[in-house]
Amino acid sequence: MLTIKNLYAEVEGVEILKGINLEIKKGEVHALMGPNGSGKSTLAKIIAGHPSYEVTKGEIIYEGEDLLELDPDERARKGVFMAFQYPVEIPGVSNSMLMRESYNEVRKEQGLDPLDPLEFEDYIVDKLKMVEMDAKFLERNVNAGFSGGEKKRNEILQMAVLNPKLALLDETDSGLDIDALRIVSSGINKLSGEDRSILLVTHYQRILNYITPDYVHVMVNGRIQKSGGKELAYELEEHGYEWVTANTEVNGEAK
Amino acid sequence: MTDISNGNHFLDRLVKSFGPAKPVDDRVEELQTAALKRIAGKELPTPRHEEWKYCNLKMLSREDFLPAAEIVTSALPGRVADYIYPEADHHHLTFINGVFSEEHSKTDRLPEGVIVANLADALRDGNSVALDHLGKYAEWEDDPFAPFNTAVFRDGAFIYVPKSVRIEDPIQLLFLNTDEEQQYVMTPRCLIVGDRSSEMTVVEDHIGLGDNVYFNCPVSEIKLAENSHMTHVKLQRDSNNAYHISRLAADISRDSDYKSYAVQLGAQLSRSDVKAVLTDENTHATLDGLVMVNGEQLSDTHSIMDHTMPNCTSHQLHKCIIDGNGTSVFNGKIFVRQDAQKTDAFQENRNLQLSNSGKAYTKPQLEIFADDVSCSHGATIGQLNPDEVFYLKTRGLQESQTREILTYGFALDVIESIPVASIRERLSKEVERFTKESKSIKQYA
Repeated sequence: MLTIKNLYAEVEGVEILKGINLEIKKGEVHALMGPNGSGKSTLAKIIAGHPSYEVTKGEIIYEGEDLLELDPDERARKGVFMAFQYPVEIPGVSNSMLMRESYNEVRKEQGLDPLDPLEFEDYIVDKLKMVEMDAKFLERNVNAGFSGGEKKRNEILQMAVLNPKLALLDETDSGLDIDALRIVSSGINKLSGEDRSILLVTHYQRILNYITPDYVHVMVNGRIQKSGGKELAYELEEHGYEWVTANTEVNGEAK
Repeated sequence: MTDISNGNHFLDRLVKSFGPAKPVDDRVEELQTAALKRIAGKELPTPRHEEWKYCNLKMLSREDFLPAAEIVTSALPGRVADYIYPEADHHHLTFINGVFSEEHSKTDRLPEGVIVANLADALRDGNSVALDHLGKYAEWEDDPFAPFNTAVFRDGAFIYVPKSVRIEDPIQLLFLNTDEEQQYVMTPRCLIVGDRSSEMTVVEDHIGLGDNVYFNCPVSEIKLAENSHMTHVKLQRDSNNAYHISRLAADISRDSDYKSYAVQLGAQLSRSDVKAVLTDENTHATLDGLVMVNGEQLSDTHSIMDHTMPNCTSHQLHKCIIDGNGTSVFNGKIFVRQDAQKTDAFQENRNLQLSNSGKAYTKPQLEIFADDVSCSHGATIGQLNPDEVFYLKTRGLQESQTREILTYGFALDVIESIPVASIRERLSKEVERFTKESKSIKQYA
């Protein structure tokens, strides 16, 4: 599904990613953890195509295609989705209008006819239930005046609507109270499956009480310093990120 | 500046072409004589004049115009009714090139005592409310255009809503300007008086039907007595080659509430001088604006929000979208006089530049003489936020689509506050048309 090879990237001349290697297979859930400033969100943004970052070396192959050659919207239409850490507020544009237009773009790519507003209403009913959102959210402007939890739920709702093959969830858990975290996690769990791969970028182990990853990677200073199974997250919770940093210094180059 | 010897000044030429006014009433005559005197021999302001720094009238001063009433209207559309909002179906006045058209006006189903009429008729009939209030609020200051309008105006709108009467549906004042060979000038005058505890919504709609050159110089005066409420929407869609120079003055009494939404889309040069005076306690004024310029258009808004007494609030959200070689100017003064304690004033001017060659000038001016007030103001000039563009692109939308949506959204929060659905719809369509036609946005397609 996704192969990242020896990826280096910088922003305004500052190197943020220093040789990332990562392989995500179809249906897998990967957790990417790390302290603030380690580059984990940057990696997600680069996969989604954020224009502020310059890839200086390496490649990202998605379904056999060079992802770096594609614009963010082309990536989205081919099934790459990113849930934002800070979803953007767009006054004047209703949630339902944005989601319908987005979904119709994806459908167009798949050679399907666009849905009209009524058909879209039918389509979205189940998705709303998934994130326990009321239909009135659809008429509100995109994220405008939403609480932190509502914004994150709205991101997962968009994910459910767009039905991506690869979902990048950038700190979707941060700032959520337990109730919101439970709703968001349960939405993500319902959306994970053998046709969808998930890269869950998180600072905290807490969300992994609700979502069980197949792999956990720890990123420090622009590199993946350690990879393992879900038990790695518990070790991190116990010892903190310093533990990984210390280990790395002993062992030299990251795995 | 005053040089009476030179009879070839722009305004003198125009005034002369209007000929002498028909006497209707002593007070009107007095007012018009004073106005004539005020502008006689007066040059148009130049960019050296601080209030006209970015609004150059040189082109205008070289134009010739005939009084609109003297030209034969040849290009009237088949169905004038198409321009009437459904909510205003039973109370609208139509002016064609500034001349009142009885045929296309309708004022049935109005509550008793309400007057919606041609101002010229009201003055001729000696309506005492009209005579009492005319010319009381639109100050001349240094501005030659308000006295010009005063000196030569004939037709216009007079609206009077009596005590405790509420008109739920909007009253529409439709100014249709036709596509003619001859260049014409019109000076519509509106006088709107809301008596105690009255309530009304008025829509002033200026529409250019072609892309001809004409000069639209309206003045609107509004007087709200105690505890009255008024929503005032002005939509300026004049021809892209027209000149639109207008003045709006609102005098707001105790416990009253005046909300103005002005949308400027047309004219090669549009200038709005807007003044709201909060004359007593517990009043509120809104002066929101949306400006969209493209091509070589210039749109200049000079506003004054004058807080004279305690416990009043004001709101001013002024948004501009600048495309092509367009220019937007905003100069927003807020006065908080010494007695105006506990004033809560909000002002924000946001400019969105779609092109590299557009210009935006903004100058918030707060003059505060009271010490217990809350005044917030902000002014920004910028492009579309790249993070917002990126966000929408990750939702599969193409760059041009993304920019259309964000531009639309930028404009819409001014429109959303307007209480009449069909006006909101009309304006949304205008915004959509503007974004769809934007070359700056299209280049991303």
